[in-house]
Amino acid sequence: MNLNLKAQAQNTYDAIVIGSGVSGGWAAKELTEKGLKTLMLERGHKLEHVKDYTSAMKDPWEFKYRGRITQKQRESHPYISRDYPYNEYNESYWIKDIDSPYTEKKRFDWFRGNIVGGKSIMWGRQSYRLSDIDFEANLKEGIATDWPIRYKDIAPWYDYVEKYVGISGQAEGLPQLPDGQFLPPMEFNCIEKSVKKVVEGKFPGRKITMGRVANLTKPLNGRASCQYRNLCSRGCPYGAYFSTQSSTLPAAVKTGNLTLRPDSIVNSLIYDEKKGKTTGVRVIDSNTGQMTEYYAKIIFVNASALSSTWILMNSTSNRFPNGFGNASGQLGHNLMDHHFRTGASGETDDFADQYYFGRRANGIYVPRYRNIGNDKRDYVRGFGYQGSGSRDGWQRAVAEMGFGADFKEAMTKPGKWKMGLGGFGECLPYYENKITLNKDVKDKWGQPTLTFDAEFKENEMKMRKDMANDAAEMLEAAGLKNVKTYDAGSYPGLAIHEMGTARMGRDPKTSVLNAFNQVHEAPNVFVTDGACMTSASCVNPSLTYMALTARAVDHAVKELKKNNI
Amino acid sequence: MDRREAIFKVATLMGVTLSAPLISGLVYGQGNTLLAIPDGYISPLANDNQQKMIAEIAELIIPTTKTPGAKAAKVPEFINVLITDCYPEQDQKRFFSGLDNLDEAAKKAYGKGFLAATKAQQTELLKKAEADTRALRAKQPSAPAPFFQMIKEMTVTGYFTSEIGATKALNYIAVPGAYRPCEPMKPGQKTWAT
Repeated sequence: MNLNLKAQAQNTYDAIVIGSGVSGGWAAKELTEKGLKTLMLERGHKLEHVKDYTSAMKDPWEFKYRGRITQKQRESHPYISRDYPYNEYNESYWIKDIDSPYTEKKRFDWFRGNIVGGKSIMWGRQSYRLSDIDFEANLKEGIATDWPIRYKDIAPWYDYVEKYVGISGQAEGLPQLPDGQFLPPMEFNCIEKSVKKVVEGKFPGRKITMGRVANLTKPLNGRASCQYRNLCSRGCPYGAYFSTQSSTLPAAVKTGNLTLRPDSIVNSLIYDEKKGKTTGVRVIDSNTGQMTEYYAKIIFVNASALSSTWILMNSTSNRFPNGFGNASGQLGHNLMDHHFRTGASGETDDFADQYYFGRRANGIYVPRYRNIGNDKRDYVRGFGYQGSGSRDGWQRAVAEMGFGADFKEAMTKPGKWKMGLGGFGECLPYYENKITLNKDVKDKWGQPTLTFDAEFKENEMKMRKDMANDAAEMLEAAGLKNVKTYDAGSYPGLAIHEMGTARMGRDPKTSVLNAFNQVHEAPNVFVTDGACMTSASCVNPSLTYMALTARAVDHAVKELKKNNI
Repeated sequence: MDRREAIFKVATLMGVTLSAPLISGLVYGQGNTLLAIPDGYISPLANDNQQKMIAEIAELIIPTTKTPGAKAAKVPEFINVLITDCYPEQDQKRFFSGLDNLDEAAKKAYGKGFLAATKAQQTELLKKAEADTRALRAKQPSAPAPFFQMIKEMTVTGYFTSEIGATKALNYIAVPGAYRPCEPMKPGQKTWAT
């Protein structure tokens, strides 16, 4: 008994954070800075800042497969090998699919990190604010349920996180894309400048702005500014983009209040029926398979959208027989992702005597303009474009006809200037788009897995037509030649913006989380990653998770001090 | 500028002090997870004739000019590695039977195998292979890549990502340290390698 009590005391913290990615890192930073002894659990392996970015400073020829993955890797990573983010440069950062399988009623591309820092290491770094157009949309259109917050509730928290993260970008004064605390924007190249000028002149309401990106254009908090290598997803030795390792983790470590435990798979939350309270988590050591319990007053679930929901689903008790905090029956439902991979590209003979220096780890952005103001389409919501201009490089040699000396010499000269625009469209929160717990298929550690049943529907398909046609229209208006639309097809998950399945809402009967990301039925449990999203907006979501997390921690600690949780 | 120098220079420019362990981590902390291509690597799937054909075809696609060609850049080794480790069996079969078919075509046209043919004859054979590839792709855009397309893709990728290709045929800067979006091309300006 004594021994047990001692072990229990050793495993007790003020707060537990599940996950060390974008939102988990923020939770750990904020909790520890507010003086809470915090345990951060990460299912993936250790990845020490700089030291463990083993591929970051390598030249192209130092990679045996020049970036490609092997057949063996395809077999061990059958899902993520379907798309490019999984490659030779950072292959050890991703989860091994066959250890953690899932079932697809419909295709779903689930990209899971397996490292400390999670996907904050591999993320695309585009950082945009949601606006009231997003927060009010569900209510106005009678879709799903209303967000329990409005822009004014989150705006100060966007300010707060942006100042620390370092977002470079240009203020534009647009209601649909609120400005933030920006470092100087990166610069447009020749073709982008030229297209921007024409598009903004010929299409009122449309704007081409520089991508708002979590890459520093000025040193910040001891982090160097972007070196324009464009090798971000290997981990940045300069700390020039926001990641847990470069930003939130050092802050949390500095407080002396953080314990980080990698190789720790959270199996479930512990609900104490006698106390009527959630008291901790059950953790499986991924190396030994041993289960250990950890205890805390506050638990932040930041395991990434669908893993967070998986933890809630797998946390059953007499109190929560159908999944943790799931009285509403909404847990696992309303799964969203952005739909993309459609747009247009074109080329020009202009600027043939102009070139650039450096590799900008960023592109241009066209904020949403559809269904805004007087614009009305045959679908609801809208899309933004990401794009960039560049000169064709040696890669064109693969498709171009010819070989031999002349061919080789031609390929060593810069090719034509080209520019592409690719849409990122909002997906509606459909109840029937869902994940469910699958007890028939177990993972390597004997745990149930997920089954995916989600698809894009009519609203998204109609929007995709505009996404392709509008892009072509703008590039043609800008005088580009050989303008072609494309639609490479989009499956949920591919954009790696998976959202929803434990949505926020005003009413415990129709939502899992309240306005402060607290589980309605368990006020000391918070979910502040993508799982919480009530609608998807069309902008890249990570910045919103950061702001919601900082806001939720602030609330949690105030409530704790008042003895309310 | 070598890697160590580049890091120091950039660190100084940025006004950031990098600690000595950090520098050594950057310069030497390469780990062993990634392996370069072993010198003279030959695929266990290739017979001697196929192996030699790969090298000759790669050099015909990217020959030595003012700058070294595919052989000097170890492209044949790269192709051997790639076809062995990165392609499924049906692609491997198509690749090697493509080599054999080309050898047969040489025998039919010139009465001798591909390797014994003259440079001009080899070039003709490859031109025909490329034309056939084009025709097939036009007819069946989703057909699996024919042999010539496979070897051309592997050759140009292998060459322009090699140290010789990237630094001699093209222009490679590991750490630009800045972005200048539009500036006049310099005489003899080469494509950026990355």
